[in-house]
Amino acid sequence: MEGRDGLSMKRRAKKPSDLPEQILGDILCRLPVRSLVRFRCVSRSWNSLLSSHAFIKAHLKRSSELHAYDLVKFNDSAKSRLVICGVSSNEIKSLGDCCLLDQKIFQRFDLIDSCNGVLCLSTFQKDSPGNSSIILYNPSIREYKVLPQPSSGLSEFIGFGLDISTGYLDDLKIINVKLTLGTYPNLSSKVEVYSARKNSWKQLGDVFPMRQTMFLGKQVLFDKYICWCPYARLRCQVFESNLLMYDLVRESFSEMVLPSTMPLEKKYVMLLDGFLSIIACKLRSRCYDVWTIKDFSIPESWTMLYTIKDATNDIFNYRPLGSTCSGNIIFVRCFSSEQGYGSPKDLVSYKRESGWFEDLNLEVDSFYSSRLVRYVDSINFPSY
Amino acid sequence: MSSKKKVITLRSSDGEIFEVEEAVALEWLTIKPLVESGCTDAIPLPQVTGNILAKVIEYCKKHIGASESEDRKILYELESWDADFIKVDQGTLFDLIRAADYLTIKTLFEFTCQTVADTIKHKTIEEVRHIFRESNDFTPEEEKEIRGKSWWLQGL
Repeated sequence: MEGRDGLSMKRRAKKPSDLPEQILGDILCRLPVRSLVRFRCVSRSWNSLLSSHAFIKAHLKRSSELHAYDLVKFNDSAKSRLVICGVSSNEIKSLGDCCLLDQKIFQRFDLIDSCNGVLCLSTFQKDSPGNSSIILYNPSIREYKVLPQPSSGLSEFIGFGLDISTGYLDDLKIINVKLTLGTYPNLSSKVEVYSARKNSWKQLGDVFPMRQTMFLGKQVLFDKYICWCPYARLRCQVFESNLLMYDLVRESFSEMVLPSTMPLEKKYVMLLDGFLSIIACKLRSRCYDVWTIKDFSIPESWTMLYTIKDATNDIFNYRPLGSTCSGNIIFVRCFSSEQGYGSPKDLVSYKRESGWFEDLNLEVDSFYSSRLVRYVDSINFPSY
Repeated sequence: MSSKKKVITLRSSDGEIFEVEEAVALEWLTIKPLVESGCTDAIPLPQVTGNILAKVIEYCKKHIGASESEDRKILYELESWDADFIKVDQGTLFDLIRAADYLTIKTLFEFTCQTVADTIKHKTIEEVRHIFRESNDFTPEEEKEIRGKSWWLQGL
């Protein structure tokens, strides 16, 4: 590294007309990722500038402010697909049909989440957990990495996020929660956390608090937390779930008790206008209540914002998938009469202002295999 | 607007004298403290030549007040004025960037940097090397490795 810097200093001295590195960085961070990937070949000094943490950070910041996208993952009959969804104009742009998906092993995957331009994918399959992998993938630069296996084996309960305390953009973390089968209360968990900077797993032990979890549900990254509204069952009774949080900095789980006035049925966690929100289903009245927490340190500050009426009627059934950059809520819609696997489903966008569900013209195979996350074009990717 | 506008005197690296309204000079953060202190001498700008300083002043005079306008017609007119203003050769464009950086004029710096970025976005590596006077100093092995990472961009 030292040699390289020395060389670039010498060259700069030789060429009085070129721009200082800081100005060059200001120009280049306005370029799309494709141009940046090509321009690494310009010279050694360009390559080291474009690979520097400061540059990647500046580019990511700009990209997040100017071009945040809604990324939809869904399965069609052949494979899993990633598309950028222009929800406002109803245009769908394919993002994922590239090298990663052309490899047979990755034809079907779940999208855990997206963070700083990097996606976390899982190919977990209940019937063959040994053949499952977790993959970190940056679709913009088409780089991916298959993670080593955790010692307790890959689980269906996976969380993905960033340790924001270190200041590194690529200090990505994955937690793997393995629950042992047993009868209540003899349940235990094995939790392991992966660090992308160390490229290794670390044992956290039996620290998972909600051991009766049946489904973890879709995660949301909020500040330093991964948040879920898990779905649990105990002695044939589905019971009320709290908000489950994993603190990526302190590496610990915690639960937040939700207000008793929140509907007792299925809950979906998402971000609305930057606030952690829960969409709570009221099956009896066939509507969804939208709740948000204004101050995360005060559980009492959960407030009901509004109700989405008629979200389930005699014809259609709607389940909330997530929220878009523009604040709309995307639902998976199916016919009320045929809700099972294989029945036709598509995505609709709910606008609070109009109270209307708008077609996105995107068919999906199920609610569980579909995902909506925020995505930014970035050249960020863990290097070890 | 007061009828009596205060004028600031500036001297370029090649000794040319320019006069600008105080309101314009206050947008240049590097000299803002001097202007605010009520300096009446000509402010020397040893890193900016007269022809570049003239362009910078032209840009700032046009933009003062207008950039914040919400009148669509004014903004549209400003946009087409900008497009004509920036029709300069590569050397002048880089000089404008350096001047905007040196004088800390945010609007001009953003505009000129974005112009260069838009220009080079689709250029070939050879063209970019020429524009920035970079030379290919990779060993063949290094170049092969780096190009290998962008194999998927070939032919796009």
